[in-house]
Amino acid sequence: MNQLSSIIDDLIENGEIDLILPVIKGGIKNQIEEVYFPQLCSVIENVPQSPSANDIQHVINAFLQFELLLNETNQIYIPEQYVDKEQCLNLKRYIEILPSKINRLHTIKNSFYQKFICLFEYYLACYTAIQSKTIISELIGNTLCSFCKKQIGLCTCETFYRNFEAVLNILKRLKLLTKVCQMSAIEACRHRISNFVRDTCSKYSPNECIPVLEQWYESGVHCWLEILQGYCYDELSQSSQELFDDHKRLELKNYILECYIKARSKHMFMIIIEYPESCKVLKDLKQCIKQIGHRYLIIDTVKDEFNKRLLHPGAGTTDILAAFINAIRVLRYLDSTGVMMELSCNNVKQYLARREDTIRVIVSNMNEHGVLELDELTESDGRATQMDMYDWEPEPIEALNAPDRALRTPHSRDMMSMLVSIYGHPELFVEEYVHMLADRLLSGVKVDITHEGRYVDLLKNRFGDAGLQGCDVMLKDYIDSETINGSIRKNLSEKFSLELPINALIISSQYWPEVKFSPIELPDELMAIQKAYTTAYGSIRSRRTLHWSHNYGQVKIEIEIGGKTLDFTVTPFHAAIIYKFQDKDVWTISDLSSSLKCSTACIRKRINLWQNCGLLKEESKDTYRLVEDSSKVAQNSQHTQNEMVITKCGDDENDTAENQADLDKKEHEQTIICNFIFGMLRTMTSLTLERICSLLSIYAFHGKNEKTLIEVRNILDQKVTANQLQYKNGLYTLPSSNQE
Amino acid sequence: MINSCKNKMRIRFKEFNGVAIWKWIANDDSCGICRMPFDASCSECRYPGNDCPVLHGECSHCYHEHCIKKWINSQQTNKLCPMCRQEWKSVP
Repeated sequence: MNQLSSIIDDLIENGEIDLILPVIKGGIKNQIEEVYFPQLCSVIENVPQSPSANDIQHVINAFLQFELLLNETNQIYIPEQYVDKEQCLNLKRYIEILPSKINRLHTIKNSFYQKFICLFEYYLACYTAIQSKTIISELIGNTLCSFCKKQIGLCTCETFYRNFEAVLNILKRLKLLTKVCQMSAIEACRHRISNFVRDTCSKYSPNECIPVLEQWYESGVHCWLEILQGYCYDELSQSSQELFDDHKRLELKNYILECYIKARSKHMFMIIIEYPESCKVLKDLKQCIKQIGHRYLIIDTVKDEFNKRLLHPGAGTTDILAAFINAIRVLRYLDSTGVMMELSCNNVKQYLARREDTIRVIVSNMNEHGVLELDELTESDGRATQMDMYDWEPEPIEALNAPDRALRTPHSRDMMSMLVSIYGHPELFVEEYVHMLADRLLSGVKVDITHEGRYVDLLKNRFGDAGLQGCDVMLKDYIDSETINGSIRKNLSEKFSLELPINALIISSQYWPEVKFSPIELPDELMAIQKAYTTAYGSIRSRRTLHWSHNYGQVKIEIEIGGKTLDFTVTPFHAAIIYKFQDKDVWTISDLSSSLKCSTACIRKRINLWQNCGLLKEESKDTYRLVEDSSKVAQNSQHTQNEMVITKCGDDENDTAENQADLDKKEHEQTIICNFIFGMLRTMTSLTLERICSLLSIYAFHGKNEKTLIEVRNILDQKVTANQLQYKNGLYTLPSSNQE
Repeated sequence: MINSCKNKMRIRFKEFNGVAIWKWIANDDSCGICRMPFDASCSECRYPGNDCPVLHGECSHCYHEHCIKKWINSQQTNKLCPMCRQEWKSVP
C-alpha cells in the first residue's frame, strides 16, 4: 500500500492528475487479487483433513488479517484537492465493493470449498454445544461443555463462536458465502451428525435416544442452517431460490436415523440379551426402520454376532436358546411380519437342530419358569386365531432374500411354533421329543416319571395325542420294570449269591423308537445272569420272553491293573471288548470280531472308549495292545466320571449324525408321499382317508417304511391347513384351482 | 479262574443294568383279527402286555384276548377259531 501511496505522490509531482484515479483503482484491485486473496486461499487450502483447534485458529487469524488489509485499502489516501468530489465518492464506493468484484477464478480451486466443510463442522459443533448444553449433558452423562470441555458455567464457546460470524461477514463481502454454503454446509451438517451420533451412542445404553437426538437437531443444526440462510439472504433474494430446501433438511433428519441404526446395530447382541430392559432402544430402532429401512444392518449384525458369540461348542444350549427366544421377541417387535427374524435366525435354527439337547431344553423350560413363559406355550396353534385384517403389514423388501418364504403359507407365529420350526414340522419335533425321552430312559440315569408325565401331557395338549401315544407306554414300561426287578431280585437271590446285582429295563418295542440290536457274545458271567433273569421273567409273565440288547444298559466294572483299581460304567458291548484283553494283551479287530461274534464296525466304533481311557493302545492299524505302563491309566482314572461323560457324548455324536440323516429321510419320504397323494387325487377327484392309505401301501410303500393310518392323516391334515387340499364329508379333494 | 498271575489286568463285574424287549411267545407275529402285532395292544387298548394279553387256542392259533372274546361273543352258535374253524378253546 505504501508503494501505491508513493506512486500517487509521484503522479501529483509530475502533474499527471488524470491518472490518479485509474492508478488507485488498478493498484488496489491488483493488490487484493494478486496478494491478499491468494494469501487467504493458501492458508485455507493448507488446512489438514481433520483440523485441530490450532489449525482453525490459524484460518480465523488469516480471515481477520484479510479483513484488516481490506480496511486498510479503504483508508487509502486520496489527494482530494486534485480530484473532484463526485469522482472521489465514486472511488470510495468502488473500493468498498471491490472485494466482491475481484477475479477469483484462478485462485479458487475445488479444494477451497472442501476445506470449509471442516471449518463449518467445527463451528457447528461449537454452536450446537452452546444451544443444547442440557440435552447433550443428559445424553453423555456429565456436566462438561461438549465442545470446550469446561464446566458449563465457565464455557467460552459463545465468544469463540463470534469469530465465525466474522468469517461469515468476510465471505459475504467477497460474495462467496452462498457458494461456500451450498458446497459445504450440508456436508458439514452430515459430518457433524455422524460424529455426534457416534460419540453419544458408541456405548450401549438402555435409554431412549431418538427424541433427544431430534431435539439436538432442531435446536442446534436446524437453527444453525437458519442463521446461514439469514446471512445469505441478500444474495438469495436476487435468485429467489432457497439455500436449504425442505428436501435437504429431511435428508439430514433421516441421516440422524441412519447414523443411529449404524451405531446401535453394533449393540444388537446386547439388546437381545438384555431384552426386555432394552425396550426403549428397540422403540428407537423401530422408528428408524419404519422411516428409513436399513433392516439389513440389523439382520447382518445379528447373524454375525450369533455366529461369533453363540454358535460354538462352548456356549450352553440353554443360553443359545434363551438368546434365540429373545431374538425372536426383539425381531418380531421390530418387524411383525417375521421376515427379519427368519433371515437373521436361520443359522441359529439350523445350529440348534443339530444340538442334541435342544429339545430337552425346550421341553424342560415348558413347565419350569425358565426362558419361556407359560402363556406363550399354551397359545393355541394358530388355526383358531384369525389374523386381524387391520393389523396386516406388508412384508419388507428384505423378504426377497428369503426365497423359500414365498412358498410358505403365513402360519401362526407364536413362540412355540417358532421353536418347533427349528425341527421343520411339528411332527418332527414330536418325534424328536419321543427319541429324547427314549434316550433318557435308556441312559440309566434316574428319571422322575411323574415329571416326565407332565411334559408328555403338556405336549399332548399342544400337538395332539397321535404322535405321543408311545410316551405313555414308555413311561409305564419304566415303572413296570422297577417292580419286576424287585420281585426277580428276590427270586434270584435264592439261587445266585448276590455278587452281581441285575436290573433290567423291559420295554415294549412297538412303542419305542427303533431299538438297535448289535449281536455280540457277552462274557459268560453276564450271559448266565441274563439267562437267569429271563427265566425268572418267564415265570412271572407267562408265555413271554426277553430279548436283550447289548447296545444299551450299563455294566459297572472294576478293573485292576498295575496294582490300581479303576471303576468304569460302560455298555455291555464295551465290557465284552475289554474283557477279552484279560486273556491276551494284543488283539486285532478281526480277531476280536470273530471271537465276540460281532461285526468289525461295531467294535471299531466302541474300542475308542478304551483307547481314550488309556487302557488300550493302537499299535498298528486295527491292532490294539493293553498298555503296560499303567501310570497313565491311573492318571486318567482320576477323571473316570468325566471320561464317562465324554464317551457318552462321543457315542451320541454318532447318533445325532444318524438322527439328522433320519430327519432328512423323513422329510424326503413325506414329499414323495405327498406327490403320490396329489397324483391320485388328480385322477380320482376325491378319496377317503382309508382309501388313500391302502392305495399308498400298494403303490408307494412297497412294504417298506409303511405309514400308519394316523401318520397318513397327519400328513393330509398338514396339507389341508396349508390349503393344498380340501377336506369335506370325509373326502379329500384338491382345491378347485388346482384341478385342471 | 482263567486269569493266571501273569495277566496284568483283572476285571470284576459289580452291577448289571440291562435293557431288554419283551415278546409274547406265539406262533405268529400279529393278531389275525386286528392285524396289530402281539407286542402292541389291540386297537381298543392303550397299553400292551398285561393290559392286553394274548390267548393261545388249542388249535395253536393266537389272538389278543380282547379280539378273540369279541369275536366269540359275536358268534351266535358255534364258538369257532376264525382261522381254522375248529372249536375255540383257549389254553390256560
